[in-house]
Amino acid sequence: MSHNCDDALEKMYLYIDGELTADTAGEIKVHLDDCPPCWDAFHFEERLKVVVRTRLREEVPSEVMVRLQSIIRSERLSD
Amino acid sequence: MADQATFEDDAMQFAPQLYSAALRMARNPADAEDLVQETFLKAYRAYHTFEAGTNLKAWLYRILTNTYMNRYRKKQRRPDEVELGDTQDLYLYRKIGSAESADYSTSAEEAVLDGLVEADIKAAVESLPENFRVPVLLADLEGFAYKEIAEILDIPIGTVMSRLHRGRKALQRELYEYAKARGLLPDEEIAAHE
Repeated sequence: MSHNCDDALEKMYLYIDGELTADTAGEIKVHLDDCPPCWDAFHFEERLKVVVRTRLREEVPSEVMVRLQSIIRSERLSD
Repeated sequence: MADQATFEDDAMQFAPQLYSAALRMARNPADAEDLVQETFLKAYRAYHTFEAGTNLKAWLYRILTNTYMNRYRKKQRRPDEVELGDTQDLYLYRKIGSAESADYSTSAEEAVLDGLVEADIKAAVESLPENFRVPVLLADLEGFAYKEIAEILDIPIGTVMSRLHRGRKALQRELYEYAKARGLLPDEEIAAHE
């Protein structure tokens, strides 16, 4: 594992979360294109983040929305 | 200043997203609905203080998380700030790597990512202590930027980063247990029968 790998892994979440400057993200991208083990690790973490997001998303039951709207409306009428 | 008359048009669109987050905070539908109702009532009453044109979604999440902390912290037995044991980076990825044979490679990763069902992910997130769970939800479920999470939770950005980092590692440790229990790690499964 090279110095570049350590540096890339240290910034992995910043990279995946889009929190790096374009320059720094670009440097990491160059390293990933050149380093299959790092690319594989980053790719796994990115996919895991998507899996977590999509499988946590819930449909809000329509009756929950109806009750919420009626609570806000009655609050407005009581003003 | 925002006009209370436009509150429903402006804010209701965020209710489904807030409900998803509230479910993972409160951990059951009845409390989650309660939490969302209280959040929207407070938001409606305070809407004249919201600065129009700023980040309404983040403003609503700030009310949601504060309401959650105030209400549910009282019920919790464990202390407010729970520490997590140290977990290595890339925990799940490395565990899969050590369980798979050389020819499996990406297919073992796919098996874990595809095989973890909604219930596993939800239970794993809900197992995190709240001071880690809430930042993870804000980042991974909602896609808020670190700066927004810092404002929503009223903590420094460095604290956001460290909680997010440790929270995600702890989440991976939980997910690994679910993956193992489902037999998604081929070599481990064989080893268990030997």
